Amino acid sequence: MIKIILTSMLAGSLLFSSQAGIAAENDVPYVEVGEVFQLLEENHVNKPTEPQLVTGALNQVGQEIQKLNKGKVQTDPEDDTLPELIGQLQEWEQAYLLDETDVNRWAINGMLSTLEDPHTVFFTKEELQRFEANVNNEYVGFGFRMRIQDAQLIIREVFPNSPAETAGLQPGDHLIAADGKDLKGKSFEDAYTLLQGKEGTEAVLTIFRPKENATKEFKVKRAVLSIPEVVSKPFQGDIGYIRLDTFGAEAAQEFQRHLYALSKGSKPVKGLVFDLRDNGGGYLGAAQDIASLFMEDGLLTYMQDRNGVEIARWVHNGEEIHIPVKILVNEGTASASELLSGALRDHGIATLVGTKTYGKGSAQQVIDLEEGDALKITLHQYLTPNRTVVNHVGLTPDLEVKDDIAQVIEALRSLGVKHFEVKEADGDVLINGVPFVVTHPLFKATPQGLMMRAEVFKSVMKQSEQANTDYVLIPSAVQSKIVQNSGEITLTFTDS
Amino acid sequence: MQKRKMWKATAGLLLCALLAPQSTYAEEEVYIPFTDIWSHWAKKSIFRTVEEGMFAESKDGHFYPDRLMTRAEYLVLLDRLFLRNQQQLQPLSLLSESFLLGREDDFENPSLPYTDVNRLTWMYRPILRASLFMETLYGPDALHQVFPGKELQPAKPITKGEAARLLQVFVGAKDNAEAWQEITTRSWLNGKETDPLTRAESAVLADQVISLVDADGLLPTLDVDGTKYPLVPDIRELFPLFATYTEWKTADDDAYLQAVEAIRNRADDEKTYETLTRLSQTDYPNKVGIYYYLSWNPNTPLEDNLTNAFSALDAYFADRIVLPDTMRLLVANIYDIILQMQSEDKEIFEKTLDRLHQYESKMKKGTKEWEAFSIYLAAMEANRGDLSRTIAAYREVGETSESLRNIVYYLISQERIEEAEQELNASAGISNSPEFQTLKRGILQDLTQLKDQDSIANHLTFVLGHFQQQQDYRVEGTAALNGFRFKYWQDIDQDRQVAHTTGYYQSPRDLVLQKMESYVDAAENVEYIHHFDEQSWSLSQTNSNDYMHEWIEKQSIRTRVHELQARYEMQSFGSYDIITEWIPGDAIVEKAGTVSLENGRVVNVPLFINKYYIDRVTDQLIAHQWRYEEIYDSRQYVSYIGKESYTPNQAISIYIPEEVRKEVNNKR
Repeated sequence: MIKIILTSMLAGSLLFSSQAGIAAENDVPYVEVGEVFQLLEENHVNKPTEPQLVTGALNQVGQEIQKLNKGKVQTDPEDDTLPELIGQLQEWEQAYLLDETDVNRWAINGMLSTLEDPHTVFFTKEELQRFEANVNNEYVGFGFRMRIQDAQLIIREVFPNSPAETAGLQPGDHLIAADGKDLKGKSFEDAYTLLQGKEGTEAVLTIFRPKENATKEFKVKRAVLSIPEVVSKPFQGDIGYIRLDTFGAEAAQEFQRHLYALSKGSKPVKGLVFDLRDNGGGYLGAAQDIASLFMEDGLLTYMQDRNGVEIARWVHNGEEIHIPVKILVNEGTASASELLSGALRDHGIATLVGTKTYGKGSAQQVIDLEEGDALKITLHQYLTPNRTVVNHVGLTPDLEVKDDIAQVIEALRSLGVKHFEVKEADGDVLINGVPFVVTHPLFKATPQGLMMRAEVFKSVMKQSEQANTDYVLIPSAVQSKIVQNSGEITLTFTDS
Repeated sequence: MQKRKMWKATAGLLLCALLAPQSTYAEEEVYIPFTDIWSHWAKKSIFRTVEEGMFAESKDGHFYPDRLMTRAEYLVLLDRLFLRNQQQLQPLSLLSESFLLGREDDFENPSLPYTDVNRLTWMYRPILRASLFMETLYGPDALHQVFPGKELQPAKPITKGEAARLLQVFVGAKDNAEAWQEITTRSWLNGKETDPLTRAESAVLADQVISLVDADGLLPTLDVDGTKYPLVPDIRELFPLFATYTEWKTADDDAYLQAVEAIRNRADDEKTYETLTRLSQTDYPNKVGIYYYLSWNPNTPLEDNLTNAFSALDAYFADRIVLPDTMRLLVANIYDIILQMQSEDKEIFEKTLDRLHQYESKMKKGTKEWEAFSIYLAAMEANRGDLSRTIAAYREVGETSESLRNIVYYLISQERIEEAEQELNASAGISNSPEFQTLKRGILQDLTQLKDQDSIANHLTFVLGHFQQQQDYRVEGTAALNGFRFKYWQDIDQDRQVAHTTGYYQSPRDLVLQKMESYVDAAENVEYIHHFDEQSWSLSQTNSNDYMHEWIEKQSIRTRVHELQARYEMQSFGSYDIITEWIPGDAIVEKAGTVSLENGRVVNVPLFINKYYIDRVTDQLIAHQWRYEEIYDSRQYVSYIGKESYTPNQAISIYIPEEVRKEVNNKR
């Protein structure tokens, strides 16, 4: 008889644990460098080696010192252990009169740069807070969303109960300046840099309001804004639209609420367009919970770590959705969005419409460090239920459509919709009643006549060849389907 | 001056009696946020259970006592009952952190076997947690045994029979039929099993469960971690003043009262005790108080504290006023101090008993004061270890609930079950209270199980033997050992006496899981262990034991009964029999002297529990859960908790790969 008792092996493994750890004693120099080193070397999915990390750190610090015009630094190519690194950092700190916090950060970023993994990141306490807030769709700001049109920054949405609303800003306002600094012609990134600031701070915003033909100034505060993670609306007809911006802490509950409103309300929808475009991901638990709203029981994903351990994560006690689902994806669809899309597709619950996804098939964990900073570290790679690799590859859509408006039209079409009403008004495009933000217009009035986006035109006409221009002149045959009315342009058509 | 002191002392007498702790339940003002139960027959139960948090707040101010209770609502109530009573249920559930049940991680993937309970609903987590708790108590798929099928139908009214079955563990019933019997005999419910249950009736059930657990009606004679017996009274007020104080206080009075305040609030320091010492050297009248509080000094040696504790007792007798509550506290204080001294001085109980016996002539036997005093003497005898003297000492105490319980316990530990039963039957005069009746019933149930020990042990022997003789089988297990967590699968090839283990584990120092793999060759007494990091194999001997639980695991049930005082309980639930085995830590420690372990000598075993789950039809061992806690002379603390399930599997053939053997042999 064998009654196998594991404890001999367990006892053995207890011995393995007593490796020398980095003790967090007082006055240990570069504690966080040591912590990050250990975390990366022992856990990071790419299995970085000691020489690799040490060299990376030394090189980065060397470069930073040179940037400060402190002279050319000599690194010893023989230095490839952690103690040697720490020793060298201490030497440089003294020789060049550097700040330990700076050197700490340079060294850590140097280690991270050798990983070939943009998702393993060092956060200061504030950066971590901002990161987590973003995952939860929380931002510090005035309370409006912008778009760029003809090199102008225009307010397209003012959030209710926000400082912007209280101050009197309105959708349609052109942003001219912030605290006197010119915003005209700036990109989103540059505008963000000029507009962002800490919670509680103020700025004077100069705007131009076209409908009053007036320039105005508003003093607006910055506050923490919680933007809903889920938006939904039924299309005209019997298809529902639901968009998820991020997999934050409230995502599952909100998603359920919106989905039930569409599928269990007075007019249950017969199909669903699920918009995951530009959703950069979020919590794995949120993805699992949302998946449970589409299926009763099923494999969600395989998670693999550096040691080859593979864990299958399941969805249990869910609810089958019973209607066809089309998921809109683009190159901004990443991480948890890819995990969810891949799972729903593999189970035959949904098909993907749009362009190839980002290709982030990895999962990270945030680890707190000794001095209050944090390390977001990639620990796992995941695969879809059918074992499709997502990492560095992305998901290829079932129906490839490049244009963001055409994506919606094609998705609806594949759900059996035949009648379409596409309207451009106030810079938004509404498809069968549901509004979409666009970065470049659908219609353009030119001396030659009305033009529209070529890809969308092709979609309307059900043509399959590639368009070779951005915009095409709308032929007279189609003109009859277009109505223009006080700035609104509506195209109505029915598939034969 | 003299007269004034006398007056104070007399006043002290009066108020001390009033300072005795009073029972405060039943007549207190309680805020109940419901408007529809003021004249309901189940009002008291509803009050009590709402106060205990067994029911959620109402959204509209109504309790709806006569509305039918749904299955979901009842299971959520059950979850709360399990959580509230998890401490007392631990001998049967093995879990002390059941609030962590139901978490999903790399080791556990819990779910409900129903399609109509969704994970994003309010009822999901409580029902999942209750079902997992039930699995430990009653066997795999326990909830399914009560509500079979693919649907739970959470909104369906629950029947009285179903409600009773789900409370089986609390009423100490051996099986489902007995559960209904127990509940109706105790008048917790009436009617038919098929009747639906109202919310008011569920409140009564919950109320009764709570009362039962609080009255120690659940396995009252089981001392699972060795700290329950000898039972001593529960003293609420540990910091009395020992005298009465009015507005007219002297400076010394203020100093004394401040010292007491400081000690009561854990804000005492050196000054506190300096003050008390100074007072002790004057003729400040409250000597009892002074010496009692001096004995609390954490910075003086225990011998000095004991001296002060005795001085307090002397002062009490010098006052010549009979105060049973004060007596109880003073002797409890002495007991508490010598418990701390026993590791340094093995004879302390004997010495203290000798001293205390001197005081006996100052009291009258049969009085409350005598009871208060002698119950602690008996406890000291129990600690000293002579069981017949212990029982005799408890008989000296008189007829109280505590002396009865201790006598029953110590009779049981000598396997004098019939005598214990006689004690119980002769105890009717002690009390009429429902708490005492509940306690007696619990003791009786224990005695019934104890009389059955041989047959349970035989059954377990048979099942384990049957299991070991069968052909090959597969094991699936999870375990936690000192912060490491494991998940593993084992194929056991009985013919070749070889096993192959695969799986993974999480070290508390790592963020990611590690693989594990090994082959055990039982014939050669070796284990081949795979080191994945180094991509190599190594050999380890298996004929020695590292830990005490490994040695115990190899002993037959007969040995465990006769040499380790193992105790068993058997329950049936649906398709399974569940046998729980408790082995007292003292017995293991005593045995440790004769067992040689790689890890040293075990000096304390706080917990040692096994649970075996057996299919009633096939007598097949289906699963095993365990919890062991051991402390070794090297100061190492080992906590090992786990569960395994077994599947017979035809014809497993395991060959230890040639490369592995070669590599290992080359290293030798």
